[in-house]
Amino acid sequence: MLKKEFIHGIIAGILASIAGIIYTHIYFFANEANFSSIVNIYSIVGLNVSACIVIAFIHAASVKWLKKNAELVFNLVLSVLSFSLIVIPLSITLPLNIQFPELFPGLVVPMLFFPSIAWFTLNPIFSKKTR
Amino acid sequence: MKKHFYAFAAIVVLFASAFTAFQSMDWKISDNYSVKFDGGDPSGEFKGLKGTISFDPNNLKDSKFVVSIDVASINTGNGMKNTHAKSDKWLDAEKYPLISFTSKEITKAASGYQAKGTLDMHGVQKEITLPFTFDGNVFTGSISVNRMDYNINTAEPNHGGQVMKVDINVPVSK
Repeated sequence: MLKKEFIHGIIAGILASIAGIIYTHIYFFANEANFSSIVNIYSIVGLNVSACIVIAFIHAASVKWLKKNAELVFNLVLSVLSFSLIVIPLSITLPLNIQFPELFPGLVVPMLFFPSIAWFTLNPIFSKKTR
Repeated sequence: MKKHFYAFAAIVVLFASAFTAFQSMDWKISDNYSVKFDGGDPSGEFKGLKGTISFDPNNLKDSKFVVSIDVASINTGNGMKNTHAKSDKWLDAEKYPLISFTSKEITKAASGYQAKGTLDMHGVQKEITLPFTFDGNVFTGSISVNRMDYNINTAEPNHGGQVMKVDINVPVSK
């Protein structure tokens, strides 16, 4: 069971990372704002994979303990968690050598939803295997 | 005779202009300056430093600073705080786009120098004394500014720091 969750998490993390890297490039190109010292390929891959592994553990825990309403509670928790993380890029103080901190939330806020979107995208494939 | 006169005049002008350049008290502000402020929360820096710096340690009587910073250039490292700082509730960058300092008198101090003059911020002019040093073509100074003295968000005295420590580091060149 946990193996399936783990693989789901890893693949979702990779998928979210690819989306994050593409979005970062588009954002840098469109706004000519460079946050690459903070948001770069390493931080994107690291954070997305970590986030999806955490999501996998939450899912495994939900399925184990909640049984019947597991999916409903898990989906709700994941949505609320993703939404509440918005506060981080809004409140973070960047190093002063980084110009246009006003544009930072515009880069990071959409990316906060990438792990959950990737998880939900792959969910039919992985949940089908267990049914 | 006329030919010699022009040659002589040219030499005089050449010497005079060279002497003027040598005696010039004016300094150009280099790009790598910093005007940082720290009030705990917020802290950050300003860009857009402009003005004229006339300074000669041997001629303090004729030395003078007329400098300003662009309020809209404030950077606290947080976009939301930058927007608030520029709003009419705080610095009101639209109505008061510049913070300026004009010295009236520069004198020698125990360590370095001090410039007495007027700090114009948020539409309020106040006499201040700016202690500074000048070493290796770099002006370094530090002052404390109380925002309440300049009517900046007096309605919320406990919102953020009241006293900002401002550290100024301005490399210059001739």
